[in-house]
Amino acid sequence: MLHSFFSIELCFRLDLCPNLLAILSEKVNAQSIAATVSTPQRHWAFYRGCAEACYANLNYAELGCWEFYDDDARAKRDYDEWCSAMVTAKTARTSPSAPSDIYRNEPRYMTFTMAFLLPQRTPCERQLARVCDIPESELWLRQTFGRILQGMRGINFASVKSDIAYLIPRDNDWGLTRADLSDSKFGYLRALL
Amino acid sequence: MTDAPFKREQLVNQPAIVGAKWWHEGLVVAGRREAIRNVAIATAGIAGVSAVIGLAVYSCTRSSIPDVNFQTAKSLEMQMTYGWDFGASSEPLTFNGESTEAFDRERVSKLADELAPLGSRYQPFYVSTLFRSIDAVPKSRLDGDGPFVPLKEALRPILTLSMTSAYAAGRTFAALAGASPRVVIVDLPGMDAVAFAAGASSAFDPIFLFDNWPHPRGVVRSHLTLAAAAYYQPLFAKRASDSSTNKAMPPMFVLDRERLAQYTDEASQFDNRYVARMPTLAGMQSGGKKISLVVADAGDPELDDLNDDLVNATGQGIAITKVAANRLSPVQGDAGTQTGLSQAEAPYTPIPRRTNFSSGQSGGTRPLPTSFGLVPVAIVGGAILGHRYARNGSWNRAYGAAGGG
Repeated sequence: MLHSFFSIELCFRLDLCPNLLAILSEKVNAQSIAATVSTPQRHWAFYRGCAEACYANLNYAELGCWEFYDDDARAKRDYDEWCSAMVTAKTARTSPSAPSDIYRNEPRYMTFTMAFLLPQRTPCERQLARVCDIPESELWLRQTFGRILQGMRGINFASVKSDIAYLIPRDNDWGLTRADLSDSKFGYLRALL
Repeated sequence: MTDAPFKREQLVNQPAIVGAKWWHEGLVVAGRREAIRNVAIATAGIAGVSAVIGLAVYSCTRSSIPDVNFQTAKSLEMQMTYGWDFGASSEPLTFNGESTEAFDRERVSKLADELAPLGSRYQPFYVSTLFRSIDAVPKSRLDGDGPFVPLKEALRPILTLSMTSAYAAGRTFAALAGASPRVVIVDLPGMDAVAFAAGASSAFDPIFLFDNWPHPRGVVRSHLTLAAAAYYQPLFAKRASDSSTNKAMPPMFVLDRERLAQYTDEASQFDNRYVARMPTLAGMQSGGKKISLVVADAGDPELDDLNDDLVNATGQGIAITKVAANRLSPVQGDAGTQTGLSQAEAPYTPIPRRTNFSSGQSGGTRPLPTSFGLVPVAIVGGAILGHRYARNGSWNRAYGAAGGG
Protein backbone atom coordinates (compact mmCIF):
# COMPACT_ATOMS: atom_id res chain seq x y z
CA MET A 1 0.00 0.00 0.00
CA LEU A 2 1.44 3.33 -1.04
CA HIS A 3 0.67 6.40 1.00
CA SER A 4 0.11 10.10 0.73
CA PHE A 5 0.48 12.60 3.52
CA PHE A 6 -1.52 15.71 4.26
CA SER A 7 -1.10 18.15 7.13
CA ILE A 8 -2.13 21.63 8.07
CA GLU A 9 -1.13 23.71 11.07
CA LEU A 10 -2.27 27.19 11.98
CA CYS A 11 -1.03 29.55 14.66
CA PHE A 12 -3.60 31.98 16.07
CA ARG A 13 -3.38 34.96 18.39
CA LEU A 14 -5.25 34.02 21.52
CA ASP A 15 -6.33 37.54 22.38
CA LEU A 16 -7.93 38.12 19.00
CA CYS A 17 -9.96 34.92 19.01
CA PRO A 18 -10.55 34.26 22.70
CA ASN A 19 -13.06 31.50 22.08
CA LEU A 20 -11.11 29.38 19.65
CA LEU A 21 -8.97 27.61 22.22
CA ALA A 22 -12.07 26.67 24.17
CA ILE A 23 -13.90 25.50 21.05
CA LEU A 24 -11.07 23.31 19.81
CA SER A 25 -10.25 22.07 23.28
CA GLU A 26 -13.84 20.98 23.73
CA LYS A 27 -13.82 19.14 20.40
CA VAL A 28 -10.52 17.39 21.13
CA ASN A 29 -11.80 16.47 24.54
CA ALA A 30 -14.99 14.95 23.19
CA GLN A 31 -13.27 13.13 20.35
CA SER A 32 -9.98 11.98 21.77
CA ILE A 33 -10.11 11.93 25.54
CA ALA A 34 -13.61 10.81 26.20
CA ALA A 35 -13.35 7.88 23.78
CA THR A 36 -10.79 5.31 22.68
CA VAL A 37 -12.56 4.27 19.49
CA SER A 38 -14.22 6.20 16.73
CA THR A 39 -16.01 5.69 13.48
CA PRO A 40 -15.34 7.37 10.13
CA GLN A 41 -18.50 9.38 10.62
CA ARG A 42 -17.41 10.64 14.04
CA HIS A 43 -13.99 11.41 12.67
CA TRP A 44 -15.51 13.35 9.81
CA ALA A 45 -17.68 15.38 12.15
CA PHE A 46 -14.72 16.09 14.43
CA TYR A 47 -12.38 17.27 11.71
CA ARG A 48 -15.10 19.20 9.94
CA GLY A 49 -15.90 21.04 13.17
CA CYS A 50 -12.23 21.79 13.80
CA ALA A 51 -11.68 22.99 10.24
CA GLU A 52 -14.75 25.22 10.42
CA ALA A 53 -13.62 26.75 13.71
CA CYS A 54 -10.19 27.45 12.21
CA TYR A 55 -11.74 28.87 9.06
CA ALA A 56 -14.00 31.18 11.05
CA ASN A 57 -10.94 32.59 12.81
CA LEU A 58 -8.57 32.56 9.87
CA ASN A 59 -8.20 36.34 10.01
CA TYR A 60 -6.49 35.93 13.36
CA ALA A 61 -4.01 33.30 12.21
CA GLU A 62 -0.56 34.80 11.83
CA LEU A 63 1.49 31.76 10.89
CA GLY A 64 0.81 28.43 9.30
CA CYS A 65 1.98 25.60 7.12
CA TRP A 66 0.40 22.85 5.05
CA GLU A 67 1.76 19.94 3.07
CA PHE A 68 0.58 17.27 0.71
CA TYR A 69 2.91 14.55 -0.58
CA ASP A 70 2.11 11.52 -2.66
CA ASP A 71 5.63 10.12 -2.30
CA ASP A 72 5.19 6.99 -0.16
CA ALA A 73 8.51 7.08 1.68
CA ARG A 74 8.30 10.76 2.41
CA ALA A 75 4.65 10.50 3.39
CA LYS A 76 5.35 7.84 6.02
CA ARG A 77 8.45 9.61 7.28
CA ASP A 78 6.73 12.98 7.59
CA TYR A 79 3.71 11.48 9.24
CA ASP A 80 5.92 9.77 11.81
CA GLU A 81 7.67 13.07 12.42
CA TRP A 82 4.41 14.86 13.09
CA CYS A 83 3.31 12.06 15.42
CA SER A 84 6.62 12.22 17.21
CA ALA A 85 6.29 15.98 17.58
CA MET A 86 2.98 15.46 19.33
CA VAL A 87 4.09 12.66 21.63
CA THR A 88 7.30 14.39 22.65
CA ALA A 89 5.45 17.70 22.95
CA LYS A 90 8.40 19.13 21.06
CA THR A 91 6.86 22.49 20.34
CA ALA A 92 4.90 22.91 23.54
CA ARG A 93 6.06 24.97 26.47
CA THR A 94 7.58 23.32 29.52
CA SER A 95 6.16 25.85 31.93
CA PRO A 96 3.28 28.30 31.96
CA SER A 97 3.92 31.52 30.13
CA ALA A 98 4.16 34.59 32.32
CA PRO A 99 0.96 36.60 32.46
CA SER A 100 0.74 38.95 29.53
CA ASP A 101 1.59 42.55 30.46
CA ILE A 102 -1.40 44.62 29.47
CA TYR A 103 0.86 47.63 28.95
CA ARG A 104 2.91 45.82 26.31
CA ASN A 105 1.96 44.20 23.07
CA GLU A 106 2.85 40.68 24.15
CA PRO A 107 0.18 38.46 22.70
CA ARG A 108 -0.04 34.75 23.39
CA TYR A 109 -0.55 32.20 20.66
CA MET A 110 -2.03 28.78 20.07
CA THR A 111 -1.43 26.27 17.32
CA PHE A 112 -3.72 23.60 15.97
CA THR A 113 -2.36 20.76 13.87
CA MET A 114 -4.08 18.09 11.80
CA ALA A 115 -2.20 15.42 9.84
CA PHE A 116 -3.33 12.40 7.85
CA LEU A 117 -1.78 9.29 6.35
CA LEU A 118 -3.83 8.21 3.36
CA PRO A 119 -3.69 5.21 1.05
CA GLN A 120 -3.01 6.38 -2.47
CA ARG A 121 -5.38 6.28 -5.40
CA THR A 122 -8.56 6.44 -3.40
CA PRO A 123 -11.15 9.03 -4.45
CA CYS A 124 -10.58 10.81 -1.14
CA GLU A 125 -6.82 11.00 -1.63
CA ARG A 126 -7.23 12.23 -5.19
CA GLN A 127 -9.71 14.87 -4.13
CA LEU A 128 -7.35 16.11 -1.45
CA ALA A 129 -4.57 16.20 -4.02
CA ARG A 130 -6.74 18.43 -6.20
CA VAL A 131 -7.56 20.73 -3.29
CA CYS A 132 -3.85 21.03 -2.55
CA ASP A 133 -2.85 21.68 -6.13
CA ILE A 134 -1.89 25.28 -5.47
CA PRO A 135 0.35 27.50 -7.62
CA GLU A 136 3.71 28.29 -6.05
CA SER A 137 2.87 31.98 -5.75
CA GLU A 138 -0.23 31.24 -3.68
CA LEU A 139 1.15 28.70 -1.23
CA TRP A 140 1.15 31.02 1.77
CA LEU A 141 -1.90 33.10 1.05
CA ARG A 142 -4.51 33.21 3.77
CA GLN A 143 -7.15 32.36 1.21
CA THR A 144 -5.22 29.23 0.27
CA PHE A 145 -5.40 28.02 3.84
CA GLY A 146 -9.10 28.81 3.71
CA ARG A 147 -9.53 26.75 0.57
CA ILE A 148 -7.74 23.81 2.15
CA LEU A 149 -9.74 24.02 5.37
CA GLN A 150 -12.92 24.06 3.37
CA GLY A 151 -11.68 21.20 1.23
CA MET A 152 -11.26 19.06 4.33
CA ARG A 153 -15.00 18.51 4.45
CA GLY A 154 -14.52 16.19 1.49
CA ILE A 155 -12.29 13.77 3.37
CA ASN A 156 -13.77 10.29 3.56
CA PHE A 157 -12.42 8.71 6.73
CA ALA A 158 -13.10 5.25 5.44
CA SER A 159 -10.01 5.99 3.35
CA VAL A 160 -7.79 7.49 6.03
CA LYS A 161 -5.28 5.09 7.53
CA SER A 162 -4.15 7.20 10.45
CA ASP A 163 -4.60 10.72 11.69
CA ILE A 164 -3.48 13.05 14.45
CA ALA A 165 -4.87 16.28 15.77
CA TYR A 166 -3.35 18.29 18.55
CA LEU A 167 -3.77 21.63 20.18
CA ILE A 168 -1.07 23.74 21.81
CA PRO A 169 -1.73 24.73 24.54
CA ARG A 170 -4.52 22.89 26.28
CA ASP A 171 -4.72 25.44 29.09
CA ASN A 172 -4.98 29.16 28.52
CA ASP A 173 -2.03 30.14 30.71
CA TRP A 174 0.36 27.93 28.73
CA GLY A 175 -0.02 29.99 25.56
CA LEU A 176 2.98 30.35 23.29
CA THR A 177 4.90 33.61 23.29
CA ARG A 178 6.55 35.43 20.41
CA ALA A 179 9.87 34.21 21.77
CA ASP A 180 8.61 30.62 21.63
CA LEU A 181 7.53 31.04 18.03
CA SER A 182 10.83 32.56 16.99
CA ASP A 183 12.63 29.40 18.14
CA SER A 184 14.00 27.25 15.34
CA LYS A 185 11.67 24.39 16.25
CA PHE A 186 8.86 26.53 14.83
CA GLY A 187 10.90 27.38 11.75
CA TYR A 188 8.46 25.52 9.53
CA LEU A 189 5.69 28.02 10.27
CA ARG A 190 5.52 30.96 7.93
CA ALA A 191 3.61 34.21 7.99
CA LEU A 192 0.30 34.06 6.16
CA LEU A 193 0.07 36.62 3.38
CA MET B 1 -12.97 0.36 2.23
CA THR B 2 -14.28 -0.56 5.61
CA ASP B 3 -16.29 0.92 8.44
CA ALA B 4 -14.13 -0.72 11.09
CA PRO B 5 -13.57 1.73 13.89
CA PHE B 6 -10.59 3.91 14.43
CA LYS B 7 -8.65 3.13 17.56
CA ARG B 8 -6.86 5.72 19.58
CA GLU B 9 -3.22 4.80 19.48
CA GLN B 10 -1.65 7.69 21.33
CA LEU B 11 -2.93 10.37 23.61
CA VAL B 12 -1.23 13.45 24.95
CA ASN B 13 -3.08 15.42 27.57
CA GLN B 14 -1.00 18.03 29.35
CA PRO B 15 -1.55 21.71 30.10
CA ALA B 16 0.79 22.59 27.25
CA ILE B 17 -0.62 20.24 24.63
CA VAL B 18 -3.57 17.99 24.03
CA GLY B 19 -4.16 15.65 21.14
CA ALA B 20 -4.37 12.12 19.88
CA LYS B 21 -3.23 9.81 17.14
CA TRP B 22 -5.79 7.44 15.64
CA TRP B 23 -5.29 4.28 13.65
CA HIS B 24 -7.83 2.91 11.24
CA GLU B 25 -7.80 -0.81 11.95
CA GLY B 26 -9.56 -1.75 8.76
CA LEU B 27 -6.85 -0.21 6.65
CA VAL B 28 -3.91 -1.87 8.34
CA VAL B 29 -2.31 -4.28 5.94
CA ALA B 30 -2.78 -7.96 6.64
CA GLY B 31 -0.04 -9.49 8.71
CA ARG B 32 0.51 -6.44 10.83
CA ARG B 33 0.78 -7.90 14.29
CA GLU B 34 2.04 -5.01 16.29
CA ALA B 35 -0.01 -4.27 19.29
CA ILE B 36 -1.67 -0.96 19.20
CA ARG B 37 0.07 1.02 21.81
CA ASN B 38 -1.71 3.35 24.03
CA VAL B 39 0.82 5.64 25.56
CA ALA B 40 -1.43 7.90 27.38
CA ILE B 41 0.91 10.40 28.88
CA ALA B 42 -1.53 11.92 31.24
CA THR B 43 -5.10 11.18 32.03
CA ALA B 44 -6.17 14.18 33.94
CA GLY B 45 -9.41 15.53 32.60
CA ILE B 46 -9.12 18.33 30.16
CA ALA B 47 -9.67 21.75 31.54
CA GLY B 48 -13.08 23.06 30.83
CA VAL B 49 -13.89 25.82 28.49
CA SER B 50 -11.59 28.70 29.25
CA ALA B 51 -13.33 31.19 31.38
CA VAL B 52 -14.46 34.32 29.68
CA ILE B 53 -16.24 35.44 32.77
CA GLY B 54 -14.19 37.06 35.44
CA LEU B 55 -14.00 39.30 38.41
CA ALA B 56 -16.78 40.48 40.58
CA VAL B 57 -19.65 38.06 40.84
CA TYR B 58 -22.75 39.35 42.43
CA SER B 59 -26.02 37.58 42.57
CA CYS B 60 -29.31 39.26 42.09
CA THR B 61 -31.07 39.33 45.42
CA ARG B 62 -34.35 40.82 44.31
CA SER B 63 -35.07 38.21 41.72
CA SER B 64 -38.00 35.93 41.51
CA ILE B 65 -35.93 33.94 39.02
CA PRO B 66 -33.41 32.36 41.34
CA ASP B 67 -30.66 31.32 38.98
CA VAL B 68 -29.93 34.53 37.10
CA ASN B 69 -26.59 35.97 38.15
CA PHE B 70 -24.94 39.17 37.17
CA GLN B 71 -21.24 39.14 36.55
CA THR B 72 -18.71 41.12 34.61
CA ALA B 73 -16.88 39.94 31.53
CA LYS B 74 -14.22 41.46 29.34
CA SER B 75 -15.92 43.85 26.95
CA LEU B 76 -13.77 42.97 23.96
CA GLU B 77 -14.30 39.25 24.43
CA MET B 78 -18.06 39.71 24.61
CA GLN B 79 -17.95 41.77 21.41
CA MET B 80 -15.82 39.18 19.65
CA THR B 81 -18.19 36.44 20.71
CA TYR B 82 -21.60 38.10 20.31
CA GLY B 83 -20.91 40.97 17.95
CA TRP B 84 -19.42 44.46 18.11
CA ASP B 85 -22.86 45.80 19.12
CA PHE B 86 -23.15 43.51 22.17
CA GLY B 87 -26.16 44.61 24.21
CA ALA B 88 -27.13 47.36 21.77
CA SER B 89 -27.90 45.55 18.57
CA SER B 90 -30.55 47.99 17.38
CA GLU B 91 -28.55 51.12 18.12
CA PRO B 92 -26.71 52.86 15.29
CA LEU B 93 -23.27 54.39 15.28
CA THR B 94 -23.23 58.13 14.66
CA PHE B 95 -20.68 59.51 12.23
CA ASN B 96 -20.44 63.27 12.52
CA GLY B 97 -18.51 64.75 9.62
CA GLU B 98 -19.35 62.03 7.12
CA SER B 99 -17.23 62.40 4.02
CA THR B 100 -18.95 62.81 0.68
CA GLU B 101 -15.96 61.56 -1.27
CA ALA B 102 -16.08 58.28 -3.17
CA PHE B 103 -15.66 55.32 -0.86
CA ASP B 104 -14.76 51.74 -1.78
CA ARG B 105 -16.52 49.76 0.94
CA GLU B 106 -14.90 46.48 -0.03
CA ARG B 107 -11.49 47.97 0.47
CA VAL B 108 -11.92 48.52 4.20
CA SER B 109 -11.44 44.79 4.64
CA LYS B 110 -7.77 45.51 3.93
CA LEU B 111 -7.52 48.24 6.54
CA ALA B 112 -5.43 46.20 8.98
CA ASP B 113 -2.96 45.29 6.27
CA GLU B 114 -2.77 48.63 4.53
CA LEU B 115 -2.24 50.59 7.74
CA ALA B 116 0.42 48.24 9.08
CA PRO B 117 3.86 49.74 9.68
CA LEU B 118 6.19 49.57 6.71
CA GLY B 119 9.26 48.72 8.76
CA SER B 120 9.32 45.02 9.60
CA ARG B 121 10.99 45.76 12.94
CA TYR B 122 7.98 47.77 14.01
CA GLN B 123 5.37 45.23 13.04
CA PRO B 124 5.47 43.30 16.34
CA PHE B 125 4.39 46.50 18.10
CA TYR B 126 1.42 47.13 15.82
CA VAL B 127 -1.94 46.67 17.55
CA SER B 128 -4.50 46.10 14.83
CA THR B 129 -7.45 45.12 17.04
CA LEU B 130 -9.65 48.03 15.96
CA PHE B 131 -8.97 47.58 12.26
CA ARG B 132 -9.72 43.87 12.47
CA SER B 133 -13.20 44.56 13.80
CA ILE B 134 -14.27 45.53 10.29
CA ASP B 135 -14.95 42.05 8.98
CA ALA B 136 -15.48 40.22 12.25
CA VAL B 137 -18.63 38.16 12.60
CA PRO B 138 -19.98 36.95 15.93
CA LYS B 139 -19.65 33.34 16.97
CA SER B 140 -23.28 33.46 18.02
CA ARG B 141 -26.07 35.94 18.61
CA LEU B 142 -28.13 36.25 21.72
CA ASP B 143 -31.88 35.89 21.98
CA GLY B 144 -33.57 39.14 21.05
CA ASP B 145 -30.62 40.51 19.10
CA GLY B 146 -31.50 41.88 15.70
CA PRO B 147 -29.80 40.76 12.49
CA PHE B 148 -26.07 41.26 12.64
CA VAL B 149 -24.73 44.15 10.58
CA PRO B 150 -20.96 43.91 10.05
CA LEU B 151 -19.03 47.04 10.89
CA LYS B 152 -17.96 47.14 7.29
CA GLU B 153 -21.56 47.91 6.39
CA ALA B 154 -22.13 50.36 9.25
CA LEU B 155 -18.94 52.32 8.67
CA ARG B 156 -18.92 55.77 7.07
CA PRO B 157 -15.63 57.56 6.36
CA ILE B 158 -15.40 60.96 7.99
CA LEU B 159 -13.44 64.15 7.44
CA THR B 160 -13.91 66.76 10.13
CA LEU B 161 -12.40 70.20 10.56
CA SER B 162 -10.26 68.94 13.39
CA MET B 163 -8.98 66.13 11.16
CA THR B 164 -8.08 68.62 8.45
CA SER B 165 -6.13 70.67 10.98
CA ALA B 166 -4.46 67.58 12.41
CA TYR B 167 -3.47 66.39 8.94
CA ALA B 168 -1.91 69.78 8.18
CA ALA B 169 -0.11 69.72 11.53
CA GLY B 170 1.20 66.25 10.74
CA ARG B 171 2.56 67.39 7.40
CA THR B 172 4.23 70.35 9.04
CA PHE B 173 5.72 68.15 11.73
CA ALA B 174 7.10 65.77 9.11
CA ALA B 175 8.70 68.65 7.25
CA LEU B 176 10.16 70.18 10.39
CA ALA B 177 11.15 67.16 12.40
CA GLY B 178 11.59 64.41 9.83
CA ALA B 179 15.32 64.97 9.50
CA SER B 180 15.92 64.72 13.24
CA PRO B 181 15.92 61.09 14.45
CA ARG B 182 13.40 60.60 17.18
CA VAL B 183 10.66 58.32 18.42
CA VAL B 184 7.29 60.03 18.17
CA ILE B 185 4.22 59.30 20.25
CA VAL B 186 1.04 60.88 18.94
CA ASP B 187 -1.60 61.11 21.66
CA LEU B 188 -4.59 62.89 20.14
CA PRO B 189 -8.29 62.08 19.95
CA GLY B 190 -8.52 59.00 17.74
CA MET B 191 -9.67 60.56 14.48
CA ASP B 192 -7.17 63.43 14.83
CA ALA B 193 -4.41 61.00 15.70
CA VAL B 194 -5.07 59.10 12.47
CA ALA B 195 -5.14 62.37 10.50
CA PHE B 196 -1.89 63.58 12.08
CA ALA B 197 -0.24 60.24 11.31
CA ALA B 198 -1.45 60.42 7.72
CA GLY B 199 0.02 63.91 7.37
CA ALA B 200 3.34 62.86 8.88
CA SER B 201 3.60 59.55 7.06
CA SER B 202 6.06 60.89 4.50
CA ALA B 203 8.75 61.10 7.18
CA PHE B 204 7.59 58.74 9.94
CA ASP B 205 6.32 55.18 10.06
CA PRO B 206 2.97 55.17 11.93
CA ILE B 207 2.42 52.27 14.29
CA PHE B 208 -1.20 52.29 15.37
CA LEU B 209 -1.99 51.10 18.89
CA PHE B 210 -5.80 50.96 18.83
CA ASP B 211 -6.81 48.07 21.03
CA ASN B 212 -10.60 48.07 21.21
CA TRP B 213 -13.74 47.70 19.13
CA PRO B 214 -16.38 50.34 18.51
CA HIS B 215 -19.71 50.14 20.27
CA PRO B 216 -22.88 52.27 19.97
CA ARG B 217 -22.55 53.23 23.63
CA GLY B 218 -18.77 53.09 23.79
CA VAL B 219 -17.08 55.63 26.05
CA VAL B 220 -14.20 55.48 23.61
CA ARG B 221 -15.64 56.65 20.31
CA SER B 222 -13.43 54.37 18.32
CA HIS B 223 -15.90 54.18 15.46
CA LEU B 224 -14.76 57.70 14.63
CA THR B 225 -11.15 56.56 14.71
CA LEU B 226 -12.09 53.74 12.37
CA ALA B 227 -13.99 56.13 10.13
CA ALA B 228 -10.99 58.43 9.94
CA ALA B 229 -8.76 55.47 9.13
CA ALA B 230 -11.14 54.50 6.33
CA TYR B 231 -10.91 58.03 4.96
CA TYR B 232 -7.10 58.01 4.87
CA GLN B 233 -6.78 54.37 3.87
CA PRO B 234 -6.06 55.14 0.17
CA LEU B 235 -3.24 57.46 1.24
CA PHE B 236 -1.64 54.80 3.41
CA ALA B 237 -2.13 52.12 0.76
CA LYS B 238 -0.52 54.25 -1.92
CA ARG B 239 2.40 55.00 0.34
CA ALA B 240 2.89 51.31 1.12
CA SER B 241 2.80 50.26 -2.51
CA ASP B 242 5.03 53.07 -3.77
CA SER B 243 8.47 51.59 -4.38
CA SER B 244 10.09 54.96 -3.74
CA THR B 245 8.76 55.12 -0.17
CA ASN B 246 11.49 54.95 2.45
CA LYS B 247 10.83 51.80 4.49
CA ALA B 248 13.27 52.76 7.24
CA MET B 249 11.60 55.82 8.70
CA PRO B 250 11.59 56.58 12.43
CA PRO B 251 8.65 55.15 14.37
CA MET B 252 5.54 57.13 15.20
CA PHE B 253 3.30 55.41 17.76
CA VAL B 254 -0.28 56.53 17.35
CA LEU B 255 -2.68 56.48 20.29
CA ASP B 256 -6.27 57.48 20.89
CA ARG B 257 -6.34 60.04 23.68
CA GLU B 258 -9.84 58.89 24.61
CA ARG B 259 -8.69 55.39 25.55
CA LEU B 260 -8.94 56.10 29.29
CA ALA B 261 -12.19 58.08 28.99
CA GLN B 262 -14.49 58.58 31.95
CA TYR B 263 -16.78 55.62 32.49
CA THR B 264 -19.48 56.30 35.01
CA ASP B 265 -22.70 54.50 34.10
CA GLU B 266 -22.74 50.86 33.14
CA ALA B 267 -26.39 51.05 32.09
CA SER B 268 -25.95 53.76 29.47
CA GLN B 269 -22.28 53.39 28.60
CA PHE B 270 -20.13 50.58 27.28
CA ASP B 271 -16.65 50.27 28.72
CA ASN B 272 -14.45 49.81 25.66
CA ARG B 273 -11.47 51.49 27.29
CA TYR B 274 -7.97 50.10 27.02
CA VAL B 275 -4.42 51.01 27.91
CA ALA B 276 -1.58 51.94 25.58
CA ARG B 277 0.52 48.91 24.76
CA MET B 278 3.78 50.68 24.02
CA PRO B 279 7.10 48.93 23.53
CA THR B 280 9.85 49.73 25.99
CA LEU B 281 11.00 53.13 24.80
CA ALA B 282 14.57 52.62 25.90
CA GLY B 283 14.73 49.76 23.43
CA MET B 284 13.88 52.03 20.49
CA GLN B 285 17.41 53.43 20.22
CA SER B 286 17.59 53.49 16.46
CA GLY B 287 14.88 56.10 16.48
CA GLY B 288 17.31 58.43 18.19
CA LYS B 289 17.77 59.27 21.83
CA LYS B 290 14.82 61.56 21.77
CA ILE B 291 11.13 61.11 22.23
CA SER B 292 8.56 63.60 21.05
CA LEU B 293 5.12 63.42 22.56
CA VAL B 294 2.54 65.05 20.31
CA VAL B 295 -0.52 66.34 22.16
CA ALA B 296 -3.26 68.72 21.15
CA ASP B 297 -2.20 71.57 23.39
CA ALA B 298 1.02 72.42 25.20
CA GLY B 299 -0.78 72.17 28.53
CA ASP B 300 -1.88 68.57 28.02
CA PRO B 301 0.05 66.09 30.16
CA GLU B 302 0.68 62.53 29.07
CA LEU B 303 -2.09 60.16 30.07
CA ASP B 304 -1.55 58.03 33.14
CA ASP B 305 -0.72 54.86 31.24
CA LEU B 306 2.22 56.58 29.53
CA ASN B 307 3.65 58.13 32.68
CA ASP B 308 5.81 55.18 33.73
CA ASP B 309 7.23 54.73 30.24
CA LEU B 310 8.21 58.39 29.94
CA VAL B 311 9.57 58.57 33.48
CA ASN B 312 11.71 55.50 32.84
CA ALA B 313 12.93 56.90 29.52
CA THR B 314 13.98 60.11 31.23
CA GLY B 315 15.84 58.08 33.83
CA GLN B 316 17.76 56.39 31.05
CA GLY B 317 18.95 59.67 29.61
CA ILE B 318 16.47 59.96 26.79
CA ALA B 319 15.39 63.53 26.09
CA ILE B 320 11.67 64.11 25.85
CA THR B 321 9.95 66.97 24.13
CA LYS B 322 6.31 67.82 24.01
CA VAL B 323 4.88 69.01 20.71
CA ALA B 324 1.65 70.98 20.66
CA ALA B 325 -0.23 70.07 17.50
CA ASN B 326 -2.24 73.30 17.62
CA ARG B 327 0.96 75.32 17.28
CA LEU B 328 2.24 73.56 14.22
CA SER B 329 1.66 76.04 11.43
CA PRO B 330 2.19 75.22 7.77
CA VAL B 331 5.82 75.35 6.65
CA GLN B 332 6.85 78.61 5.03
CA GLY B 333 10.32 77.73 3.86
CA ASP B 334 13.63 77.34 5.63
CA ALA B 335 13.32 80.42 7.79
CA GLY B 336 9.86 79.41 8.83
CA THR B 337 11.00 75.89 9.50
CA GLN B 338 13.01 76.77 12.56
CA THR B 339 10.41 79.14 13.86
CA GLY B 340 7.58 76.67 13.37
CA LEU B 341 9.15 73.84 15.33
CA SER B 342 10.42 75.94 18.19
CA GLN B 343 6.98 77.43 18.62
CA ALA B 344 5.41 74.04 18.98
CA GLU B 345 8.07 71.96 20.71
CA ALA B 346 9.46 72.29 24.22
CA PRO B 347 11.54 70.08 26.51
CA TYR B 348 9.40 68.03 28.83
CA THR B 349 10.15 66.23 32.08
CA PRO B 350 7.40 63.86 33.17
CA ILE B 351 6.68 63.83 36.89
CA PRO B 352 6.11 60.37 38.39
CA ARG B 353 2.58 60.06 39.68
CA ARG B 354 0.70 57.21 41.24
CA THR B 355 -2.60 56.48 39.56
CA ASN B 356 -4.65 53.45 38.56
CA PHE B 357 -2.32 53.11 35.58
CA SER B 358 1.06 54.31 36.84
CA SER B 359 3.32 53.31 39.69
CA GLY B 360 4.50 56.76 40.72
CA GLN B 361 8.18 55.82 40.65
CA SER B 362 10.89 55.20 38.15
CA GLY B 363 11.15 51.49 37.44
CA GLY B 364 8.04 50.74 39.44
CA THR B 365 5.54 48.03 38.68
CA ARG B 366 2.46 49.41 37.11
CA PRO B 367 -0.81 48.55 38.79
CA LEU B 368 -3.38 46.52 36.94
CA PRO B 369 -6.45 48.68 36.56
CA THR B 370 -9.54 47.24 38.18
CA SER B 371 -13.10 47.57 36.87
CA PHE B 372 -11.66 48.46 33.50
CA GLY B 373 -12.75 47.27 30.07
CA LEU B 374 -15.52 45.17 31.58
CA VAL B 375 -19.18 44.78 30.80
CA PRO B 376 -21.98 43.59 33.11
CA VAL B 377 -23.64 40.43 31.85
CA ALA B 378 -26.60 38.29 32.87
CA ILE B 379 -25.86 34.60 33.27
CA VAL B 380 -27.85 31.47 33.89
CA GLY B 381 -26.10 28.22 34.63
CA GLY B 382 -22.86 29.40 33.07
CA ALA B 383 -24.54 30.52 29.86
CA ILE B 384 -24.57 34.19 29.00
CA LEU B 385 -28.04 35.57 28.45
CA GLY B 386 -26.85 38.97 27.37
CA HIS B 387 -25.76 42.40 28.49
CA ARG B 388 -27.16 43.07 31.92
CA TYR B 389 -28.92 46.20 30.72
CA ALA B 390 -29.89 45.12 27.23
CA ARG B 391 -33.31 46.48 26.42
CA ASN B 392 -34.37 43.18 24.94
CA GLY B 393 -33.29 41.23 28.00
CA SER B 394 -36.15 39.41 29.69
CA TRP B 395 -34.12 39.38 32.90
CA ASN B 396 -34.45 43.16 32.96
CA ARG B 397 -38.19 43.00 32.51
CA ALA B 398 -38.41 40.33 35.19
CA TYR B 399 -36.70 42.65 37.62
CA GLY B 400 -38.41 45.76 36.34
CA ALA B 401 -35.03 47.38 36.48
CA ALA B 402 -32.60 49.03 34.21
CA GLY B 403 -29.94 51.51 35.10
CA GLY B 404 -28.10 52.00 38.29
CA GLY B 405 -26.62 49.05 39.98
